[in-house]
Amino acid sequence: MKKFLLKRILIMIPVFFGMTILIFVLSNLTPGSPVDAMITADMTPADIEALYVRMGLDQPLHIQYLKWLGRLFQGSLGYSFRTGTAVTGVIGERVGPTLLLTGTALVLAIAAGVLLGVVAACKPYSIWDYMASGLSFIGAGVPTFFLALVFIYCFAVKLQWLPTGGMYANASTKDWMDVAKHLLMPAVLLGISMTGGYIRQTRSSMLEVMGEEYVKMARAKGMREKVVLYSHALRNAMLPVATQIGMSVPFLVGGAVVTEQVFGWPGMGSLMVLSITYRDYPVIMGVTVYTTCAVMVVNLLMDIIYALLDPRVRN
Amino acid sequence: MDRKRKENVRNSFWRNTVQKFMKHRVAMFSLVFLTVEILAVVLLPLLMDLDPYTTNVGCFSMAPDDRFLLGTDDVGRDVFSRLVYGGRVSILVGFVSALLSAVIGIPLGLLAGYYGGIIRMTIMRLVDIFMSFPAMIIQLVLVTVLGASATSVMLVIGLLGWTGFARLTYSKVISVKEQEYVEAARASGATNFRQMFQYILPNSLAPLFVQFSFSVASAILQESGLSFLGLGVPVPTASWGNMIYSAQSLSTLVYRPWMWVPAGMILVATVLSINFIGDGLRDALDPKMKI
Amino acid sequence: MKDNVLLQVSHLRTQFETKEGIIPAVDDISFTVERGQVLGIVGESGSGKSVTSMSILKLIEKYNGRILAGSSVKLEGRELLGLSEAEMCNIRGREIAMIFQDPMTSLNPVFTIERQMVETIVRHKKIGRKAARSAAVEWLAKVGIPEPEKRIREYPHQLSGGMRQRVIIAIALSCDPKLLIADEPTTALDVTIQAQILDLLRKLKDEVNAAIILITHDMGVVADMADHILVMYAGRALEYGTKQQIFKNPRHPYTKGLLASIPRMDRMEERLFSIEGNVPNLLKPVEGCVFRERCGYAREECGGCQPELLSLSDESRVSCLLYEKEAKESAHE
Repeated sequence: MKKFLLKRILIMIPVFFGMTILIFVLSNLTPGSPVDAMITADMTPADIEALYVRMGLDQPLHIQYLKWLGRLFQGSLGYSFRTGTAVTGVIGERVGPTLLLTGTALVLAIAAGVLLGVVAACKPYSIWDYMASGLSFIGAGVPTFFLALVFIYCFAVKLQWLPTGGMYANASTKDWMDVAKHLLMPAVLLGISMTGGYIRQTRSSMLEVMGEEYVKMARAKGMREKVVLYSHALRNAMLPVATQIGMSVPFLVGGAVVTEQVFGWPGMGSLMVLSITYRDYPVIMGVTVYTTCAVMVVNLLMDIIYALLDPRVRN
Repeated sequence: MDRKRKENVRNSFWRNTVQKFMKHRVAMFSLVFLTVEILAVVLLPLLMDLDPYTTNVGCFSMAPDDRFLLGTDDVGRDVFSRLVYGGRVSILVGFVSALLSAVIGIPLGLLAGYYGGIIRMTIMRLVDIFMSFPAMIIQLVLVTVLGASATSVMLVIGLLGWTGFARLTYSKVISVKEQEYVEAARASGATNFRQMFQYILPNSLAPLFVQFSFSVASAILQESGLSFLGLGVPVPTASWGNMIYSAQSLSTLVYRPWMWVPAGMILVATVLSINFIGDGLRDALDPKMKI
Repeated sequence: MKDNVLLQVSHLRTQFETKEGIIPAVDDISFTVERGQVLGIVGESGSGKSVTSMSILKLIEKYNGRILAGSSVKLEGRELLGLSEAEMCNIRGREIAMIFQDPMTSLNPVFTIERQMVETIVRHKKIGRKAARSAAVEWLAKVGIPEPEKRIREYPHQLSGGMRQRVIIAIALSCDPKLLIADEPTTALDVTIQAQILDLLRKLKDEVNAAIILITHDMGVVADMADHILVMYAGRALEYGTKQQIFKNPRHPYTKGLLASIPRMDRMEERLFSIEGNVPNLLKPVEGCVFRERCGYAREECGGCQPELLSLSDESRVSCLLYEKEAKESAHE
């Protein structure tokens, strides 16, 4: 297990450098420099020049990259053009809501995906099978924002069961029930956009596993069908599903941007859109760095989970 | 020999595939739908007097009537015309982006599979890097850098969508490479280039067609997503995504459904039918194919 | 003698319904297995041997197969085909255990040996996990696995093919079954390991006093172990007899062919004998005797229908028109 983890982390190193170099190049392409926010009206060109030197912007690109990386590790991402405060602070208050939304959506999507996938595989042509394929088509073909509009129209406007957007009815009370009510629709929608892939993967790998010899053997040993399906077959069928979940996480982030925007959820996605409209480049790059790093960490976590599921990978 | 016989084998393979595809009813229906739709968005502007740009003063946000088949939007533009012109943009963006992804991804996958070693390492690591990027975020940054336009939307979607093609080509090439006819070509002194493009690629094409159709659907979805955020195809150019953008205002959402519902429906129908065509193609080529 | 019958299969017919049509994989098979005896079922791949064993365990429905009405499988006089799924679950692994062909794929890769053994024992015997675990370790030692205490904590992929087959045998025998069905237990193994596994089976057979149905395509394997032999071809039983009779005096042309195709060290021949032609496609209904097209003795009458199993003596039956006269004579005696 240690060896496996070490290997995964070693593989991550070039990926990390590749990603940060790409982001660095991108941030150099964006107009404006970190100095801009510090320039005041009474500065002479010489002062500005000095500021450039102090910030290291006169140095060659690769040195600048290393320094940028150094600052990144210290958690310094510059200052927002829009608010003038530190980017880490601006992003910091958005992390919680985004994690809450994406986390809930992921849990819902995995639960629904695995459940429906298994039932669809075990009872083909049943109502569950049709529901599973219906949901997976909606997930694959209906854009989240369109479905979101339909949901808002039905559940918020017509039926008035749920609020149309935001995170609190009253931000000062921090009532959890209230947050849950606001969370329900965006989380379900984001979940639906993810779950189609999980359903299809679970269904097909379940069908494949059920043809395996060890399933036949478990039956021949006299294990009850429930044990055969939910213990012997499902454990093995989960392996490709885990891979699929890991690979889908970047899309979860993308989906969160759209969902947060539609529902006015105060997370990093709506911050991203807001920052783009304000051309707030430090925040844009900050969000990019944060999310890519988060995706990398989640990928490592998924690798660990995969190793826990599959002993063959472990040793 | 057997050039002729080989050709026969290949022809019968494709004929067989076409026959199987025709039997796939949903896929056939989707193909007909898509063909009609493409013909419509291409030909209707030539046949009808459609004007998606003029803002008809005094006709803001009008419900459908004789003059405006699907009503007008909030600045008085004809929604039906915008739907047709938007279709041109959305479908074009979908195909061009997918093509761009294929043009980048297939040669890279071919190189990685054919040469192995350090080339394979580099390319597949690059695939890893791109796959762990949250594509949407990078697309947003790129669009900001490049400036919003239909061209830059195609570019950013295409640039980030190639990993699927590369991975698929790679895995296919690895298995095809070991086949006898490639070995024979190698033994008879075919150049690397010839081996790759004349022998290996044609025999790896089948799953790539399937991947392409899914890629088109996904590109159309991505374009609509970016445009919906107001960061994709910019107005006044119409796209299905930026037509739905108007529904972000609650009053449009509730009281003026003609502005966004048709665009949403046609978008869903298009994406679904392309996906169904992909499914049908996959089943016809090889039901066990994993894409 | 009747009391000695452990398993009685009569007129077993099993079909698969596929897109291309109905495949009669097993067509009217009857045989008996006596306590403590070994019945060898021999045939080429596709002859219906494995389907027969899956039908006895009533597992065939899970694989899109169907046992037709009129079939009967009796274990100690109790009809299995009428039992409910829950009742069958108590028979499988407990009364009738099975060993599979490929040890590399028959053990669940994500569970330890311990879990796979203990779950079986706990399922069928009224003992706790702890007792089950020590029983499992004991069984591992019995099947010749060194350091069973250590091995039991390992996963299948950490064991070699031969070791895995030993584990599978241990699992099968751990609940003291009355009948053990071994479906090509050595086919997937190296030759040297094959002999070891057969030795082990022979040794354990006496110890646990179980009857064995040994399914194989290898006449050499049945020569080693079987008391009686059933020769199957294309879902039909072509010949049944004691091992001595079958090897010394094979009657059916197919059995003769099978025996002639065994490589022998004592005879130097230019080339091995092989039976011409292929197993018939069962999708198309076979007219007449299933072996007719490959048979050197085929006559016009063979095109009628599959001959009844003719009794030539108490323990010898053959499905071939060549023996009609002989059968009548033996019936008169």
